[in-house]
Amino acid sequence: MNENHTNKFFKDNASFRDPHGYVIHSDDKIYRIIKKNYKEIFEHCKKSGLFQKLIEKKYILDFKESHELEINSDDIYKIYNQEKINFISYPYEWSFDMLKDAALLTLQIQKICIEHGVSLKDASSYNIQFQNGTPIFIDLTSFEFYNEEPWIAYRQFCEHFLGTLALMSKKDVRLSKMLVNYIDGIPLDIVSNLIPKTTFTNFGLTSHIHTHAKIQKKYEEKKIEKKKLKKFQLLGIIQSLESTIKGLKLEQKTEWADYYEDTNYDDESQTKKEELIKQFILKTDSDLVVDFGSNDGKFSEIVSENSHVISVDIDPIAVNNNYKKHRPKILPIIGDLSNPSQGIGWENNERQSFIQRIGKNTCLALALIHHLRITYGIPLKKQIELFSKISKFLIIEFIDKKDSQVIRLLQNREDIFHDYTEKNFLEIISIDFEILQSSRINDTHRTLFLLKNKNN
Amino acid sequence: MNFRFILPGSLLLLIFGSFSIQNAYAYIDPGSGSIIVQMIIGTLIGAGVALKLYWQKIKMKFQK
Repeated sequence: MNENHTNKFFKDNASFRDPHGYVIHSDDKIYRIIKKNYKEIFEHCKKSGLFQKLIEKKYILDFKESHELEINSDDIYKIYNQEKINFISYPYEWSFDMLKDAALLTLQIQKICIEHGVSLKDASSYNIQFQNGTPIFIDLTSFEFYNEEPWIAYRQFCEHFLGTLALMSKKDVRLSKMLVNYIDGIPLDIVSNLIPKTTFTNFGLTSHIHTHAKIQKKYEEKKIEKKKLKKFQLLGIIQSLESTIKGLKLEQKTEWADYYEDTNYDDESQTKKEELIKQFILKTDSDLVVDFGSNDGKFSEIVSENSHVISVDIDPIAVNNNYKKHRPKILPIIGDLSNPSQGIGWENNERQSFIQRIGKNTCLALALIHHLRITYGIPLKKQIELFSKISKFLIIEFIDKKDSQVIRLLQNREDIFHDYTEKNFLEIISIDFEILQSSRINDTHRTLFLLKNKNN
Repeated sequence: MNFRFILPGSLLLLIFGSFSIQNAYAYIDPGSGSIIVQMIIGTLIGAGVALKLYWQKIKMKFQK
């Protein structure tokens, strides 16, 4: 993440809205700066045992007071540091169950907060990250005193979490991509219009989406007097949100969901490929491995013995299947290498692009480049140029045109892919990479390469 | 029930209940409509709880 930064410490790009604190990043830590205007509630969260309970349950990222940073400012109360998240990911990159678990975690935290006289002052999905295969709340300044009033973050919760999950479950799983354009959650009127009318039989969706959307419109820009809402009523609302979300399930099937039932390997070749990858990975040296086109993480699992893995695939169902295996060293991500997540928000930089976040690591490109070439039209030279920017080491599979999967890709179209030959591939990779090892997989038309970036 | 404490207690509640503690910590817009929706659902829940309690009282009467 830090290859692009010349300073050791830099302020988080999204950390400007909250008046109570902000975040500073360094190579291996996250620093949370707590301002004096937050002292009272922060101390209450500590003294009441709220933080202790949330840390014990691993709901919130643990924090320790830090005296390493010297910041000249009168309004700073204290500085804390937290363990660095291996890879910062965003809700539009999460699969259905990842978003669902993040939503349920937020509600669990809110319930515990209320029991300690505290309430979440915001319920943004950006408060959550994934570490060790599960969601965790990272923000220390999201708390306020609970005063038996309606939940201030209810709207945000519905727009970030409930609405998106309803769209994914009831309409189309790919609709979470709308979060790219709606950085503060999907407007409820859009969700209400898109989800099927059958959802009116569901009390939760009718209240929190349909009715909510209508009433939002009616009271837009209108001033209302302050209201009181009793504790049992708020807890009832949270319970209702929880059971509505638990009831949402993923129904869809996609193209790649059953990929591994249906590939080109006989058992012997599959075993050989796995062995080669185990050998190759030992010769690489990176904190992280990024597995592109990982499907349900079959090969991510193999390399995760020695590293943490970011397991990227374009198919939201495959990524969800990956996530449901709950492997602590694997972070599944929905991503399209031909159109990776862009930078969004203020100055297109509040939430950074995928390529900015991914840095330079060991990359796997197994059974991938023929798809990028033939289906997505990306010339081999351009593919390798990208890999040279993001890979210290690259384990890449070249599949020639005699392979049945490539034949299938070309069956109904003209073969205009004249650059796609092994000879050309070898020439191109030799520009930026050194070939440490290569091996044809038994009698198949597939060759595995272990490459080292010459510019490491 | 001790009536001596109820009257001053309710007066206090009336006076202080009308002052909502100013929310100095919030920076997101709660949305007026979203507040109203919570009040509506909250009322339904309140009614539901009241109904449940009433139903339990009736059941107890029949069990005697």
